[in-house]
Amino acid sequence: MSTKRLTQNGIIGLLMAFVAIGAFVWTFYSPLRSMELFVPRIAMWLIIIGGVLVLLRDVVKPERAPRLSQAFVLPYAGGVAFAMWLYGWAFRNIGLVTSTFVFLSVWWIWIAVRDARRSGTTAGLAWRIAKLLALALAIAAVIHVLFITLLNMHMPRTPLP
Amino acid sequence: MKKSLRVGGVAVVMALAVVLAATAGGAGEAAETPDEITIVVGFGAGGSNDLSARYLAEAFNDHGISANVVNMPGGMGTEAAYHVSTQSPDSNTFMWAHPLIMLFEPAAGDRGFTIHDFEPVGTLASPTFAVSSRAGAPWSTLEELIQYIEANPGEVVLGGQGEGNMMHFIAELILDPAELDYTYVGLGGGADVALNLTGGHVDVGHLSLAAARPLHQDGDLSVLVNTQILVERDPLMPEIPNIVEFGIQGQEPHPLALWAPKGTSSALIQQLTEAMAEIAQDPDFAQNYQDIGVIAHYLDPEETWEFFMDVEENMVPRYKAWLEAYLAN
Amino acid sequence: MFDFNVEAVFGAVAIVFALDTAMFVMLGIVVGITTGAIPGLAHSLPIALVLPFSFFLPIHQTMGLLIGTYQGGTYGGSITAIAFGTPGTPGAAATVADGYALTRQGKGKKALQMGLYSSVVGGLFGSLVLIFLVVPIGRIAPRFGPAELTALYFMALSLVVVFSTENAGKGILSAGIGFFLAIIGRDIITGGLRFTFGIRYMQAGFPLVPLLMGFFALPEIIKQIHTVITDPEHAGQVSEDGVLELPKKAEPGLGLKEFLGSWKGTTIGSVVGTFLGALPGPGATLAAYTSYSVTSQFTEDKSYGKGSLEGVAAAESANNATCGATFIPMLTFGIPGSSISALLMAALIMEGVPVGPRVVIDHTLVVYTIFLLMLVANPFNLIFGRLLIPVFTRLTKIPAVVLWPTIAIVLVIGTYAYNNRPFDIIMCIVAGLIGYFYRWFKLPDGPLVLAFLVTPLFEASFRQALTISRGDPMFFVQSPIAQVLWVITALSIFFFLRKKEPG
Repeated sequence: MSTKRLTQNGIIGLLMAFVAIGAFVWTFYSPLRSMELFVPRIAMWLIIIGGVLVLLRDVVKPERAPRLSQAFVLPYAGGVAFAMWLYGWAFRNIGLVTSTFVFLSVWWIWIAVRDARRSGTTAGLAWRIAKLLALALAIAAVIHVLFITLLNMHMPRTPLP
Repeated sequence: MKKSLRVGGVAVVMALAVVLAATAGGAGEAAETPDEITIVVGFGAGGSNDLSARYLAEAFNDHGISANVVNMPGGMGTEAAYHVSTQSPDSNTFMWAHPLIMLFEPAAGDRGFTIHDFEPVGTLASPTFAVSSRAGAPWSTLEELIQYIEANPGEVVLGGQGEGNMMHFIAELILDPAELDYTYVGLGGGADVALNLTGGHVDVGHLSLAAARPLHQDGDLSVLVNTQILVERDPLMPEIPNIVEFGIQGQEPHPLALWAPKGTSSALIQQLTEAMAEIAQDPDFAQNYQDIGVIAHYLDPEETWEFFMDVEENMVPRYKAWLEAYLAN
Repeated sequence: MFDFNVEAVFGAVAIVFALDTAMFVMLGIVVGITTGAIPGLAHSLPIALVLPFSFFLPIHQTMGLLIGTYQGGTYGGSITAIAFGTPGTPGAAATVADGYALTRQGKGKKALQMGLYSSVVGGLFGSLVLIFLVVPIGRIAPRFGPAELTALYFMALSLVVVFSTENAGKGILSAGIGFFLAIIGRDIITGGLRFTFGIRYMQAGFPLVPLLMGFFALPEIIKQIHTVITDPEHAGQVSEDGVLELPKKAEPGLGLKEFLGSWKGTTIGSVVGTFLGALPGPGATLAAYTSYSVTSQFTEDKSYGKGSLEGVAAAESANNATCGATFIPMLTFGIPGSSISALLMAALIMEGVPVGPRVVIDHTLVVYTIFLLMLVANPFNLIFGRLLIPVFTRLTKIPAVVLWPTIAIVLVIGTYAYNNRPFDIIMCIVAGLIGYFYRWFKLPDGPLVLAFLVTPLFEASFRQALTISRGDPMFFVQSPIAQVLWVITALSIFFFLRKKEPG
C-alpha cells in the first residue's frame, strides 16, 4: 500500500522542526549578540531541514518509513532516570556505602520476591535474599574502596558511611 | 587450569596495585584529623593555578595541616567558587582564587556568588603576565610597537585570552583601541596564544610570563613588557620592564589567595595564615613557585582583603563601564 | 633540529629497562585499564591522581606511572564499550556500535581481543611517529592558525555526510541536535550565556564526559531493566542466584586471519589518530570517530556498523594512536596540546625539568626516556589486556538483574567523581534520555557526537579568523594548508555522495 500518508515518524520530525522554528524566532528577541547566535541558528536550521526531510521522505515513500517501537517503555525510562538521580542525591547526602547498599538491596529484594510469587515457590527465598544482601554489601564495599580510598573522590561529609 | 591461573595472576596484580596505592595514600589516611582541609582549584590539573595550589598543599602537609587539592574546572573558575560559596563554614573547604574569579567575573554577570560570600585566609602566589610579540616583528619595544600601530593602522593583530573579560580589559588599557587602530582577537587559553604567536597568526600576544619565557629564550617570540602588580621586575626575567615604567596603569591583579566560606572559624583561618606566612619564607618553596612562573608573595588576611577591596573599588567599576561599552557595539 | 644522541639512547635504555621502572609502568597500566573501564571516569582523573607522586618519586618512575596510566586508560575505555555498550572513556564511544553488536552476537571475546590488538598497534604507531618525526611534525603544528583550523574542522564536520547515508533527514536532524547541545553554556569567546534557561549550573554547558556516558549507557540500562521487569525469562538468568555464570564452552578467540583482515581499519586508525593527536584540541574521541567513518568508506565488510571487527579496529587503533602524538607540541614548543599533556608537563616541571622548545636539546635523556616508556607501555598493555579479557568476558555473563543496576550505580558515581560536580549527574541523565529518544526514533548517533565535538572548535576558529581578517572571507583560503584542506573536503564530500548513490 503505497498511498501517501502521514507516519508517526514523519509527525515527530515535523514537531521537532516546529520546536526549532520557535527557537529560531526566539533568537531574535534574545539579548545575545549576532556573533554568539551564529552557530545556534545553524543548529536550528539543520533541525528544521532535517525534520522536514524526514516528513517528506515518509510522505513520498511511506512503506520505507521505519517502524517505531510501540512498547510502553517511557515510564520505565522515567523511573530509571529518577532512581539514578535519587541515588546521586543519596550518596552525597546520606553516605556512599549506605545508599549503595540500600538501593541495590531494595531492587534485588523486590525482584526476588516478584520472581518467587510468579513461580509460586517461596522455598529458599530467604536464603536467596540473604545472598543478594551479602552481594549488595560486597559491591558497596568495593565501591567505597575504589572511589574513596583509591581514587580519593571529593565527598561532602555525610551522616553515614 | 591455564585460564584460572591467568585469572589468578590478574587478581594478584590487582591486589598488588591496591596495596601499593593504599600505602601511597596512607599518609593522607593516617592524618585524617578534623583539620584536613580541601583546597578547590577552578581549573584543570596541570596549569600554574593548579600547580601553585598543589605546592601550597604539600607545604601545608609539612606544617602538620593535612591538605587536599580538588580540581573543579569550568566557567573560568567560577564554577568552583560557586561550589565553595555554597559549602557550610565547618566543611573545611577553601577556594584558591584570584580577582578574575572573585571580582571581575561576578561583575560581568550573575555567577551566583560574590567576594563577600568569602573570608580571606591569605595571599601567596602572584603569577606574572606579559605582552609578547611574534618572532621577526618590526618592533622590539612597547614604544616601537605603539609607533608602528600609529604608522600602520589596522595591520597589527593582538591575540588575548578570551573576549570581554578582565584580561581583555587589561590588554585594552595597555593598547587603547580608541587611539590605536589594531585588531583584538580572543583566543582560547595561554597555550593557544603561544601557538598562534609562534605560528605568526597574531603579531602580539597576551599570556603568562611562565609560558612566554622558554619561547622567548628560543627566539620563537619576544617578551616586550610584564604586567606584574606586586613587584615591578619579575625575578625570572629582570630585564623585562614593567608596564608602569611606561606610565600606563595596566598592571594586572592576578594574585592568588586562599578563601574560606563566610563564617569559617577564625581559629582555623589563623592557623592556616600563620602557616602560609612561614611557607612564604621557605626558599625551596619560593624556588618551586619561581619554576612555575609564580612569585611567592605573602599577604595576611587584612592585607589580602585590602588588596581585593582596592581592586573592587578602583578597577571593577572601570571594567564594568568598559564592558558595557564593549558589549554595546 | 636535533640528531640522535647515542649516549642518551643508551642512558634511556638503562633507565627504562630497570625493574623499578617496569614495575611502575605495569602499575600504571593496571590502574589505567581499571579506571578507564569505569564509565564516567575518563582517564585524565587517574592521571591527575598520580600527579602528586612526582613530589617524591624520581622522574623515570613518575613518567612510567603516568604514561602507563595514560596508555592503559585509553585502552581500558574500550573494554566496557565492547562488553556492555557503555564507553569507559569518551574516546571509546565510537567503538560501541560494532563492539557491543559483536558481544550481543556472542563474539565478545573476539571483539575484546580485536580492540586490544588494534589499540596496541595504534599505540605503537603513534609512539614511533613521536620518536622519529617529533621535530618535523612539531614545526608544522603552529602553522595551523584560525583559518587553517576552520578548514580542518569543516572537513571533520563533512564526515556527518557519511553517517547520513541511510536517511539524510535524520542525519541532518541528528547533527543539528549535536550543534545545539554543544553551544549550551557560556560562549567560548565572550562568555555570554547561551540557552542556559536561567539555571546556574547550565553555565558550564554540556560537559563531554557526562554527555557521552549518559547518551550511550542509559538507553541500554533502561532497556535491560525494562526487560528484567516485564519479561524476566528473556533477561538472562534472572532466577539463578549464582553471580558468575560460567560459559559452558569457551568462546573462540580472534584468529590471525581476522586480525589481518582488518588491516584497512587499523591503518586508517593509526594514521588519522596520529595526525589529529598532534594538533592541539581535537583529541582521542574525534580521532576515533573520524577514523571510524573514513574506514566505513573503504571497508568491504558488509556488517560494518552492525558488528564488524574492522569497525572496532578503526576506532581503537585511532584513539591509542593519539597517545604518542599528543606530546608532539609539548616536546617541540613546550605548549601542551591537550589536558593530558598539560598534566604530564606539570609532572615534568615538578620534577625540575622546565618544558620548553629546548627541552629536547637540554634534557635529551629525559625525552628519550619518555619515548622509550611510550614504546614499552604498549607490550605491557598487551600483556595485561590479554590477562583481563577472560575476566571481562565472564563479567558479560553476569545476570542482567545484577549487572545493570551495578553499572547504573557506577555510572552515577563515576560521573560525579570526574569533576566533583553533582549537577553532572543530572546532565548525564538528561543525555541518557536524549540517547533513549535517539534509539527509539532511530536517529544515527555519529552526527551528534561529531557535531558536538567539533562545533566548539569550529566556532572558535571561525570567529577568530573572521575577527583577524576583519570580516574578509578570502582569509579562509589564503594559506596553502587551508587550500589543500578545502580541496580534500570538497573531493571527499563528492566521493561520499557518489558512493552512496548505487545503494
